[in-house]
Amino acid sequence: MAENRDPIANTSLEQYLESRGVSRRDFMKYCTGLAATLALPLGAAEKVAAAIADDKRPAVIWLHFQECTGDSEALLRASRPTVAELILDYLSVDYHETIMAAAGHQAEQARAKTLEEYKGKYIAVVEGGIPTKDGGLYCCIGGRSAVDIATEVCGNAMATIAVGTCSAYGGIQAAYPNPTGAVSVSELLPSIPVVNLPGCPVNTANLTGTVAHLLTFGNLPQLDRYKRPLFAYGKRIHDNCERRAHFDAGQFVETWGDHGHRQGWCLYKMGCKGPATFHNCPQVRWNDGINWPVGAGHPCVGCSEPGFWDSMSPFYGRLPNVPGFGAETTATKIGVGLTVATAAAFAAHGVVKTTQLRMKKD
Amino acid sequence: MRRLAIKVWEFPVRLFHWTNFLAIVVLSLTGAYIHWPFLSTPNSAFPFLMGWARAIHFVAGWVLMVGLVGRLYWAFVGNRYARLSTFFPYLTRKGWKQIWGVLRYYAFLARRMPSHLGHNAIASTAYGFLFLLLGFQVVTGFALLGQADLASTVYRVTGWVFDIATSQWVRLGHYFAMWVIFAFFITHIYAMWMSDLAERDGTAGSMFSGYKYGDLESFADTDPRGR
Ligand code: HEM
Ligand code: SF4
Repeated sequence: MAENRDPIANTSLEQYLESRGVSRRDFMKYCTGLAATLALPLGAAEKVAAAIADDKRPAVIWLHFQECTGDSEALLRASRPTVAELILDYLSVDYHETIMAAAGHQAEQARAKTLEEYKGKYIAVVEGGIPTKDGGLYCCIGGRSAVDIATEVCGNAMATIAVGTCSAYGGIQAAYPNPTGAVSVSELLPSIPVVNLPGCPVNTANLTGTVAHLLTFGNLPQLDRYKRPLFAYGKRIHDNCERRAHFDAGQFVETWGDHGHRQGWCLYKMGCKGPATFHNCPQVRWNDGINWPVGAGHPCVGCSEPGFWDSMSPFYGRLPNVPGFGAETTATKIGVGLTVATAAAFAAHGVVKTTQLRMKKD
Repeated sequence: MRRLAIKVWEFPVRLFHWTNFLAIVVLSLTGAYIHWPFLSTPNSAFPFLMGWARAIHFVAGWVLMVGLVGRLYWAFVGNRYARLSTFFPYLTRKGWKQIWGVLRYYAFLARRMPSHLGHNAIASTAYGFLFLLLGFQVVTGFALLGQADLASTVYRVTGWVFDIATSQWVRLGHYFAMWVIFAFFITHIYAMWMSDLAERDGTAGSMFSGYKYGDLESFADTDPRGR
């Protein structure tokens, strides 16, 4: 879309970065970090840099469905423009409702045009869940349902990147009882190539990493069973956590602000979901690598796992409550109940039985 | 009436019974600690407390797995009391009759337990379910273990678990099963004690010696050679 690309249409990436105060050195530093995030061998940074700076600039269509725009926010509202942002800017996002200048029919036309011109070559980025119930009427844009738009746009893309937990797994609207029948992109379109980048929000480092991989190697990174790239979701938070030594030592925070909390001990007993969550937060961190939840003293809530809202809550409890038993019914309550009931039943039976035996003897 | 001693539990059955028992006790203690680490080491007096609990849990987990596989093998080659089919009496009409008889006896509606030598029909049903539950513990336990390294063989073998349920549900199931095992344990001890007392068949000692006792009548439909 011409008016979108205008400021950078005829400049190279390096010129563009230069104009924003990013030197070649900064750019190379960034690419080295990116290569490390992608777990590529030494020297791959050059290749990544060359691929990113190449003039191909694949078109990107960024779709918004049932979402809070948190993923776009994560990308756009950093404290200062990062190299990552600028590169993603440069990647010619042809359609992004939140940031594009065009609106209404004009915007829809831009999408149609990109779709036609770059069929099979553009990258679709999806943010938000897709409601399927009642003909998909719970999310309509420009008179078309999200189901319809996603099917057309993702179905004709080179690849689809589902950013954030909502488009990757359905997110909060797909939580029980899922009134709108919300699904993820890969549930709606199981046969198209999809990379899930869950997280609430997505970590921009992982988005640029995935795009860089696509540009450098021409294919998608290796994925796990939930279609998440292994470079970002291949290790458990718990196994890379800076508080892990306290876990192994048996040093736990018991209440907020206690001695252990001030000492930076493990948050396991405060409901930390690090042991069940695969994400590279401990290494990449958030907000330009400033910190991450566990680093700031809050337990991990497991936002990048499937079934986040249903299986990671309660956030301050270790395990989910038992479904079908009403709120606040923990497995422990039921387990203790079961054990006590069994003991009581046999105690009663034992009284009758021993009396019976004694009477027989007499 | 003449009392007979009959070899019921062969050596491998007894061996696996006790290795499984030990493993389950250790797994329950360490598992309970992993679930809720009630002991803390505020001043590093005993560093690596959770580390040890987990390490012991995993070793006991391997022991349980080997014990279950060994017992399963013996269910195919062992004597009639060790056979796989004894754990599923509800699959046959005759078994149902037995179950009904035992139920009436337990509810004080019948004077005598239907004749049996191995386990009675309800007991063997319970053990069948226990073995399934322990199998569930092994599968979910190894699946959780495999999460530490997605490239590991353990994960390659057990990762399919996470196609069925996400890891928190797997954990919840693994945790809750512990309580079911506790309830089983109480039942098991009571039933053993009660049957020893009421039937005078030597149940309590049988898992050590291998022998059970009874009169000819109660062995009516069994083969004294134990085959
Ligand atoms: C009688 C059988 C078993 C019982 C009663 C048992 C009990 C438990 C319990 C209560 C937990 C804590 C769950 C939580 O709150 O998150 C646990 C965790 C675990 N169990 Fe077991 N378990 C058994 C068998 C096994 C086996 C056979 C393995 C396989 C090696 C195993 C591996 C694990 C692992 C890997 C964890 C997670 C440890 C962690 O998060 O650090 N368990 N077990
Ligand atoms: S804080 Fe959470 S992720 Fe870190 S070691 Fe403790 S339980 Fe694991």
